[in-house]
Amino acid sequence: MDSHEYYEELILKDGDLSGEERKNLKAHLEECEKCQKLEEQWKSCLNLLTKAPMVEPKADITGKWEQTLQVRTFEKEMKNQNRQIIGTIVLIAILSVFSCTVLLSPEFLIPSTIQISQILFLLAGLANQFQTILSMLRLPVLICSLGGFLAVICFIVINRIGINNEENSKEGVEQS
Amino acid sequence: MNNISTDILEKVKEGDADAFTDIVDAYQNAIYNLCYRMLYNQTEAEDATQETFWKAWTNFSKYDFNRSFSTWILSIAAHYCIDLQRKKKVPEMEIDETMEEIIPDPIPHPEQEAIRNEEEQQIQDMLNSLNETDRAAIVLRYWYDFSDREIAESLSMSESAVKSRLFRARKQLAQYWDGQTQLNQG
Repeated sequence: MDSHEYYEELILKDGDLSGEERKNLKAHLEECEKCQKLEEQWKSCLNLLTKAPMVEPKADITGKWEQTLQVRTFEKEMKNQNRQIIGTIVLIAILSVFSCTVLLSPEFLIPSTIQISQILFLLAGLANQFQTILSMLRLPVLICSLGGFLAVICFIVINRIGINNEENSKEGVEQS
Repeated sequence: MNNISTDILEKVKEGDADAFTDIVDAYQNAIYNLCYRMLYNQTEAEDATQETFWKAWTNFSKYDFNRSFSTWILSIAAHYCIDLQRKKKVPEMEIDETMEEIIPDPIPHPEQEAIRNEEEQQIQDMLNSLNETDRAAIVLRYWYDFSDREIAESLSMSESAVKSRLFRARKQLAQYWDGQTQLNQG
């Protein structure tokens, strides 16, 4: 470090100088024009900086903040909601692609087709057996069905007659 | 700059927006002044103030109660303004290169131009001659009386880096002052 740098540091130092430093600087300033100039310039700057006021906002910062908070919170919620929707769609898409890949793969497709055809054969056999049983019991089933149908009609007719009788007796009481 | 009680800070940490409004009330001038000194534009400074409060609100869970709240919130404002200035780096370089042509009318509104007094203009011209990080260090030192350690914490750098930045900035300001004096005399 040359002597100028040392004295520049002292001139621009923030805070008080020690007695020794002050003495050395004073002696140097008396013979060095460059450092003298720097000291004057810095003193003028420092004077401006230390008396500079705090600039106050002209706008209503608190009022604007309340609006900002409301708007941005809403935007944030919307963003989160959209993110959730997109996430769900992506998940479904991935699962669909994965399922299709697995189900349509030859290792999976052939055995699953065989299994489905076996199930269909089994169901066809059961339907056949049910048909045979029904053909054997055709007459009793027909008689039962007709009997049941007639029983329902009788029940409705009897019920209707009962209701009419009740209404007639109520009218008779009211007239008397 | 008002000190905020721990009660309010705890309420804010729990998500109380009304308590945060108390913080906005207490710190709006401090934050705005820092943003204005950094950006030198009223509208941008107001927007930056809102942005600072929004960042503080959304990142409040990261606030360490052992740290000074002023340092923390001013650090958010300083970083935001530094980033903003860096994004606008190209026009700023033009200002540095053609200072005499552009400095006389940095704000497009004539009424604001009229309000500013000569000293205010000089201060802002001086600050504009510094790079954004040095400017933030100088503003935090002379407007907020921050120590080297507090500036280091606010600007995420070491104390020795702060010392050397402040030294460099002071020298640059003194030289800028000399340049301006010669320009006025000439």
